[in-house]
Amino acid sequence: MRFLHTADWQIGMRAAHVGAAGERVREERLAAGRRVVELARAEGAEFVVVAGDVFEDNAVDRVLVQRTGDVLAAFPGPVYLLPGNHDPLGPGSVWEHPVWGSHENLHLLDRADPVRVPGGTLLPCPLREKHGQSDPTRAIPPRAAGDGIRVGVAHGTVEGIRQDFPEFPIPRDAAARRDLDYLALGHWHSLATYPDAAGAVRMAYSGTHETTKFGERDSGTALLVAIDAPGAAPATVRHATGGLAWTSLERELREEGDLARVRAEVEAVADPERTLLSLALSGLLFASEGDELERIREVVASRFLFGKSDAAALRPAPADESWVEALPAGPVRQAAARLREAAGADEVAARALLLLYGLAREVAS
Amino acid sequence: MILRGLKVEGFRCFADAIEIGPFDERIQVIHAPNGTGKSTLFDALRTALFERHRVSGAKAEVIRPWGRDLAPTVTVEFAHGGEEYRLVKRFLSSPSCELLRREDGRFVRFAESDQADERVRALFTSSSFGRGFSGFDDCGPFEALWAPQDRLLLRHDLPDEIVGAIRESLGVQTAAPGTDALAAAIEAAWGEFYTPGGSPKKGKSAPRLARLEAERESLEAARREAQESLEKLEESQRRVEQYRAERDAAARAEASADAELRSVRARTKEYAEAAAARDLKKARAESAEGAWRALTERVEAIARVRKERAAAAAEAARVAEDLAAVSRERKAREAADAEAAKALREAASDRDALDAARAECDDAAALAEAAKAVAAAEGRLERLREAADALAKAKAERAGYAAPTDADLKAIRKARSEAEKARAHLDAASLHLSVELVEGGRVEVTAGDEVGSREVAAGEETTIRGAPEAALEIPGVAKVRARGPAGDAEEWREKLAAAEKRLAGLSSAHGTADLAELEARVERARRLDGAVDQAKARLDSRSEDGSEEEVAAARAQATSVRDGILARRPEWAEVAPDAAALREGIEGREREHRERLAAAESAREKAAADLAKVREREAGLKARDEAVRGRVADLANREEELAADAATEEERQKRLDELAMGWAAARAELVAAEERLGEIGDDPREEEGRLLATAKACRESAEKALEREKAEEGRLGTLAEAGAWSTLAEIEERLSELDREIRSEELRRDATDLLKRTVDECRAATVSAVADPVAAAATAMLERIAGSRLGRVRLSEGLVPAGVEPPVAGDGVDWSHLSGGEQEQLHLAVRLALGRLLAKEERQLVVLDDILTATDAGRLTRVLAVLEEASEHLQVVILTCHPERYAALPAAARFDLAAALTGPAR
Repeated sequence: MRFLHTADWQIGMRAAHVGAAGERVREERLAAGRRVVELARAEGAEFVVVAGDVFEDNAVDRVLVQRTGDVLAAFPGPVYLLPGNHDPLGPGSVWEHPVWGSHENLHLLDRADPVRVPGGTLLPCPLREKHGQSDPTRAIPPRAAGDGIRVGVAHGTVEGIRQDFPEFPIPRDAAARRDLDYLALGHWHSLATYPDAAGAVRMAYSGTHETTKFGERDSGTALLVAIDAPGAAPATVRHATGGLAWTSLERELREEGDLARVRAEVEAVADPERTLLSLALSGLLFASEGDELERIREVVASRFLFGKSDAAALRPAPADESWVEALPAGPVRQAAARLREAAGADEVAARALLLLYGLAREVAS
Repeated sequence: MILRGLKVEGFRCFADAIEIGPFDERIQVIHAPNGTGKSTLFDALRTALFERHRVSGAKAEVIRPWGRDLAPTVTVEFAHGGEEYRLVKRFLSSPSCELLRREDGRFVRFAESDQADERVRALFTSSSFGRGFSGFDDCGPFEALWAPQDRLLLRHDLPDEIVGAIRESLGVQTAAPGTDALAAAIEAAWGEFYTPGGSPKKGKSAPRLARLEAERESLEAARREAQESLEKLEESQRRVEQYRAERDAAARAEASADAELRSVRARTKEYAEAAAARDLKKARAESAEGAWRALTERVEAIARVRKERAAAAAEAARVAEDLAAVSRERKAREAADAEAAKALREAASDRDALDAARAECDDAAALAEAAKAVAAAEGRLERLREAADALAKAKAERAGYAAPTDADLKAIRKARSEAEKARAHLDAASLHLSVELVEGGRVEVTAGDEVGSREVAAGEETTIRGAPEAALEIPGVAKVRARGPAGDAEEWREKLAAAEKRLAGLSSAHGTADLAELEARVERARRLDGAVDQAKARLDSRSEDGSEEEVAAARAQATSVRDGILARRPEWAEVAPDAAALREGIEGREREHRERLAAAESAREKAAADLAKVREREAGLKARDEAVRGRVADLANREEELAADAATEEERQKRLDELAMGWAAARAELVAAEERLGEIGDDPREEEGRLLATAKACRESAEKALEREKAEEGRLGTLAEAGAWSTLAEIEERLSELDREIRSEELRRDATDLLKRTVDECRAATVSAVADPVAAAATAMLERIAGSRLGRVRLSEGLVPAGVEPPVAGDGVDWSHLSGGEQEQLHLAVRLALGRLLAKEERQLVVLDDILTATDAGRLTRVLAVLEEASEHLQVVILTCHPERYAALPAAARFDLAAALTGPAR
């Protein structure tokens, strides 16, 4: 048995955190879906399993449902789709769309009944609600004659993942409990495998096929799974499927010139059209580098698919007093001194100081 | 600066030259009455120091003496910066300027013309000359130290130059050059967000932040709308789910009801058959019972009717006997009643005679009463007529007597008084020329009130009155003429004529102007009015019981009654009967008649009652007799009907026994059928009906749920197709971007605001560093003058008084709320405090022109002490028209300006 395990496509995902790039991010999730299908075809997968959350919500636009169905239908073999907690089964859900009935290779796992697949049996655990505290794999029936390789398909939280109220908790040893050769999981967006005592990976999260946010590790992936026989250790191969780079840079400035080096680093980021960049600066800001900071802001904001820069943690360099001494004596210089004192702990004061520096330069010129 | 001397010539009120000086370095009082030119001296000093000598124009022309073509010239000798100067300026006509400096004990030319102007000005101020004549608006640093008349109060912020000088004297760090430009740049940056008043900018000039916030607000509304659409979608999904659940539940309930129904229907068939058998047996038992009961009732009825018929026949015989006896009694009672009726008619027959006697008696009494009323009415009529005649007579007498009214008399008195007054005044205003001839002779009056000749006896004095002239001639001897003031006499003559004319007019209607006569007439008229009132009162008193017409009507009515009675009884015309005797006789007869009649009526009532009773008994017996006879007949008919079967009693009893046995057998069969039915159980048909209804209700419920489900699915489809999800996604993404931009703009705004506030605070601290020492010095002086009541002096940023902070008022008091005197003292204290600071390097000139006009004597004494102390550092020049107010300045140099007009004086 050879199949491709993917999950959490989250088609129609709202990407407020990336502003105007949201539309592109949404489109890229569909494009990543095409890459998954192409990967499965290229790797000779017999079928594809999508372990839940194909869609971000049951309310996503119907045209997206149609387009997703069409993407999946391009795979030459069967594709098995599990309703997850984002798109649970129910009236008016995306699963009532006619596209699922118009392609013969698309199979909705809408019942907890065994499904025969080449070489074995799929044991699906579809979700009918967005929230739940029960183990979805409880519905998996015991091994029956002729099951062959038993592959469970479920959507939930494996015990051990830190969460106050784990949604649809799945025991760490669910594969063994349910007598499964492999349990294909969805819900968490980072790839994660769970070896059994013998070191065989019998349950895994494939990770979302396209990264959804900054800081999400090991995402933009799919798993190619091969199981030779019932009881044999599954062979899992990770494949990258993501198209966008979500890059986070955190840099601390210590001396004059650091800011220029940061700018060079930012400008060197490859493929900026496909990169979403988050730059966080901390440390010391020298008054003379105010313009450099503005340039970095401009580069981050204009060069990348999406860019945000955070300079709130920058503070005026304490030794940088020359320009203050150059201010006209009297209230303005006194004000500058006061702002310098406050700027260490106050972003507004730091910004005010920079503003005064800029105005002084303008007036002087 | 120290003023040494001043010479003014051709300047305003000083056409000739006047020279004042030399001045003391400490304090001097220049005094003169109003209009002498004290303020002009002050004006000349300021004009020389701060106006160009070439100044011209209408404003400048005012310094030229009125109506003279002179060139105003001022010479000022002063010391400044350790040098002694003499400045000579000539204005308007051939203007010139010359500045001399003392060198080696003598004044040497130092500068002239425009250079001299500029050099002098530069000694005191860095500002340039204004355009045209500036007046007291331009006196450089002396604005704080020189107080022109009525301008002691410092109403505007002091120029930066003075504030700077004060700051310098205090060693406070001043704003270095470049500060203003930078401050303006900060202000401009701040102005991007705020109005000059500090409010956030709105409208077209609003900053980008406002537009971003407006867009965010608009997007928030759109986001709520999209969110609501999604909520509707979710709600619709829930409803579809609910309808599906309802439909499933209804279908399950219907299937359950159908299964139950099939079971119940089998039981129903068995039950129906048993019930039918039971009903048949029941009908048979009821039929047998009915036959038995019918025959039993007939046998009993025949026996009962026979017994009742015998009893009724016996009663009929008893009633016939009673009826015969009562008929006999009724006849006896009818005879007695006829007898009593006859006796009653006889007793009532003398009623008519008694009524006639009663009428005669009443007529006699009415006749006597009518005669009496006629006599009384005639007496009252006579008295009323007598009173009416008296009133008519009094009125006629009053009407025939003419007299003025009180108002007329008052007007006459007034006119008379005015005439007498005018006459007295005329007499007083006229000339009286008295002549006494020694030998007698003729005197010709040629002017006066009575012109003409008159003879005057020897030794007799004659007086000629006239105005404005009285003149006489003693022929051959002398002409004498006397004249006096003309106005008064003529006026009083006119008043006299007017008063006499008015008096004549008022008295002409009465034929006399004699006041005594007129007053006597008024008095008599009052008496006649009294007589009329008295007669009227008498008539009113007699009319109280009726007017003459009413009394006459009463008399006519009484006469009519009397005549009517006499017409009916003409025999009473001569002698009227005694009504009392007649009444006594008739009353005895009437009493006897009433007693006899009452006895007859009582006897008749008893006879009639007895007859009625017996008739009633007879009628009752007749009705009973008829009823008893009818009942006997009815019972006979009933017996005949019951026995119509023509059977014997034995036959009937046998038949009755047969029916009883048949009924018992039918009852036994019924019990057996009911036991069979009981074995089956309750009637299942009711349950079947209930199940049928349940199944139908479930079906209908399922159909309705399906309808609702389909309809909701339609709505759901529409909502899903609306694409609210994508709309919301796009809105949230834009909102997120906006939030970032807004945060960035807010940071920029807050930073700009913080920068401006910090600079403002530093500037305020600098100002405070200058103002506080001035305020402290002024406070100390004010406390010496006015005591501690006013508290601490508060200054504005421009170093002019803002108010005071009395210990009892927490928030301070604006200076305009102080009394006039205290306002003067506050502003003087501030001026002197400023002077002390400005005089740190060099003694400064303070000029006070007729100030402290509202300050009382007590405080003035303390003010003078303060001034004397201030003169340790300041040269004080006081200009006043009240030198005595400054007598308490013994060390002061005094200049009498009036005396100086004739030459230099001290």
